[in-house]
Amino acid sequence: MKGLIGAVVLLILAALGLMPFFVTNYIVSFAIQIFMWIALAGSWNLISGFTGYVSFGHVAFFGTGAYTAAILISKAGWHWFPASLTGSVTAAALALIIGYPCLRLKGPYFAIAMLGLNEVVRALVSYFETFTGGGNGISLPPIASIQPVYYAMGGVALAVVLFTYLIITSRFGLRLLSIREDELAAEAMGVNTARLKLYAFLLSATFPGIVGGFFAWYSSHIEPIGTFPLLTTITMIIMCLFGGKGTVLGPVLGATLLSIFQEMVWARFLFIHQAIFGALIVAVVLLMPRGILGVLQQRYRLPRTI
Amino acid sequence: MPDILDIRAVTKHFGGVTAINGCSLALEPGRIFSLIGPNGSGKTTLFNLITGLERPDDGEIYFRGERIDAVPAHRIALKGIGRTFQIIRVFPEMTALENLLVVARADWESSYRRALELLSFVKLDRLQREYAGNLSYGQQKLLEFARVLMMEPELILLDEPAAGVNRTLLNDLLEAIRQLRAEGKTILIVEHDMKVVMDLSEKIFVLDHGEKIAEGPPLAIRHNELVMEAYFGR
Amino acid sequence: MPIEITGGMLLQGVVSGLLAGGLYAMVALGMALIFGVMRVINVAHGTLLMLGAYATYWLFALYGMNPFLSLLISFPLLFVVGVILQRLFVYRVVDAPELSSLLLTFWISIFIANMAMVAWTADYRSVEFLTGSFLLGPIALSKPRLISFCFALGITYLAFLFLNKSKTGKAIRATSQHRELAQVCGINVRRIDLITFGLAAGLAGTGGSLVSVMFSVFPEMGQIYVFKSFLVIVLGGAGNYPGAFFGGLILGLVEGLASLYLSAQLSEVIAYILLVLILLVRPTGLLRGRS
Repeated sequence: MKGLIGAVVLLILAALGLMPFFVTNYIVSFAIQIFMWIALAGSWNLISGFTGYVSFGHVAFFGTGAYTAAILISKAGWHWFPASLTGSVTAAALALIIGYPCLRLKGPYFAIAMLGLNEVVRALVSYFETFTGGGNGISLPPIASIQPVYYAMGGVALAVVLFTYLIITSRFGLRLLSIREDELAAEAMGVNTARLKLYAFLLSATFPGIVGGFFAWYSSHIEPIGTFPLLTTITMIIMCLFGGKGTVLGPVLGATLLSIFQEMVWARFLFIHQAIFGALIVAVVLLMPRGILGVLQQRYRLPRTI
Repeated sequence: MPDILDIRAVTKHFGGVTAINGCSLALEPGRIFSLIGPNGSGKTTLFNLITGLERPDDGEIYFRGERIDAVPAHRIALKGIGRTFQIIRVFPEMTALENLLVVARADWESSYRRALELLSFVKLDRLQREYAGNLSYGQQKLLEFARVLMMEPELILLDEPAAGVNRTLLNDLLEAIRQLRAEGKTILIVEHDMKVVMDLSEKIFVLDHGEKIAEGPPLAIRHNELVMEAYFGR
Repeated sequence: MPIEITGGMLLQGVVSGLLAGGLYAMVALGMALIFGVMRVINVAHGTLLMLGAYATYWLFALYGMNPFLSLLISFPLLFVVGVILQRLFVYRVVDAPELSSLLLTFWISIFIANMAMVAWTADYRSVEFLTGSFLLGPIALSKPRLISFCFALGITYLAFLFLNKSKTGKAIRATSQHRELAQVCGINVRRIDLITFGLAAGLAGTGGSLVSVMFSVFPEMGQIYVFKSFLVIVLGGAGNYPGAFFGGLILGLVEGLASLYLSAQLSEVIAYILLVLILLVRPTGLLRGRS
């Protein structure tokens, strides 16, 4: 059985790997989008799905990575790949600085603090104009081919899924879950909740950092409003919740389904799209807080590694 | 033999309320102790102070000669103090097995085996893959007990182990407690069920309004006037 | 850029800050009430403020109504809006995990902001009713700011009177302290939720009306006030309603000083850093709060 699943997985990966050579650019860029959302939703899952701490400003890490990479590329002439990886370092640094004090807060206060983070990073970006180009943003050279970005984004998405799998099958993962279940009891049972939360938070910030870097390169232009919107955070949250938070493939499912939905409806019916998306938010929140895979997991006693 | 737990003149306030007031008590290792007192006398608060979930405003707590009142809760647990809670706190959306594995310190293999052993010990092994939240009250209580044992503590604090538990289950529990004592563990129980307290304890501490008003063997406590007053009034 | 900051400038900064702070306090009080009574984080608070601002704008533009008089309309109007929102949507996430209330109120805010955009376009509007300043020694007190502050102060005072003296107000405070106990004492908490949300919306809308006299009116204008209200609640201590008042003043003060010594843009950052530092030391907020 395990062999069969492994074979199927490898087959899918091979198909994805070869895809850019056989399909139109439109589909490749759509795939890039999906990979990006998988990475983002999956990262949010690492902190909020596992520990229950709601990071409502997660896009701040995305934006930090984007700006780091953009500055390194445009001002220091770096290649986009290492620049993006550096984006993950700055994002992680930010997570450390903010996470250390804020993770001590109880649920709602942590969420509020995270919400504020987004505003603040955006304000900082606007302020340090010499570096960041202020409201005008930074322009980067247009890219020749999107294929490298496809593989890069795909790589990050894969990495996120892999990390999630590794974590959920480890003791680290079990302990994170126990924090979500009952932090006080976990602490009394010897779980170093403060440190584990921080690790999860750092991890959950590095991937958006890299993704942000790739995004900056791909878009060839970034500016504050487009890079730090609350809607991005909400979208990654909804995608994760829809698919199933706290599961491995939940974010993948959610990101894929909702991206397809967005693509089909957005282009054609802007207003309805907003309304439907909004209705989706409400529905997920009220009726299906565990998400598709979460519900299935509970109903059919599926293993955690789904 | 030096005391395994030494609480010295510990005081704790919550806002305007003094929950514990200059309380001192000492536990010799390898015995079963009970902590009794009317509701609100501070018993659970004392547990919280010992396990590090609260900090005393005054006084010191020593475990095996080492001062622990300023040590973070998870480290106190790792030093060898385990506890159960008055209101059961299992991890509801994790399986019974996972509830135990969270606590394990050793490698995966042996932890897994030990977890299964403990589940058999409390007769929950058939339910190992069941979400803890779906278990019955009695089963959750047993699970919490097994979870404490998984930590391999030297000192075990049980907060109202007999509450809401039927006779058969209770006997199993008491038997398990006696077995632990035979293995050299020290046990401190908060309990309201006087029959359990009298049967089980080698020494009883009585709290009232955050102060220790009496301590001694069961028979002495039973006839102690101060204790009578505390429970029944003059 | 080291400019010499005179005593006069300092005083000016402090006073301007405090004037703004009064407004923040009033708006934040609403959000604090919603959080206290229903455990809901109302991200839509800013849009409620925006609606109040637009109400005043249209009354001014179409009928020439005195903006300060329009408070008599915007407050009850927003009260009703609040009650409707609570009755239709928010009641479902009362006492729910914070993620639920965050997502739901976020959707409400998007929805309302979008409707506003469609109805009134994204154009910046302004209510040019009052300009100029009073001169008091070395300080110039902007007239709109001063009068807005006075109204904010008055309305906040009335709100506190209501909370402390009236039967409903006491019921609100009881519910926010201990919901179950309040129910046991015979308080109809559902009704209290409705009233509280309405009251909070009314306060936000009133804030919007007052803001419209000083700043531009546009659909996104309320966003920043959500952030500021959070800061106020933390500064003042959660669940501590008089604290919210002082929290507002403190925030205004911090902003004023930060603008003076650093930059207006950084004032938010400073306030946030302050917030984080405070939460580090006192996780329930600066003044005595409640977890």
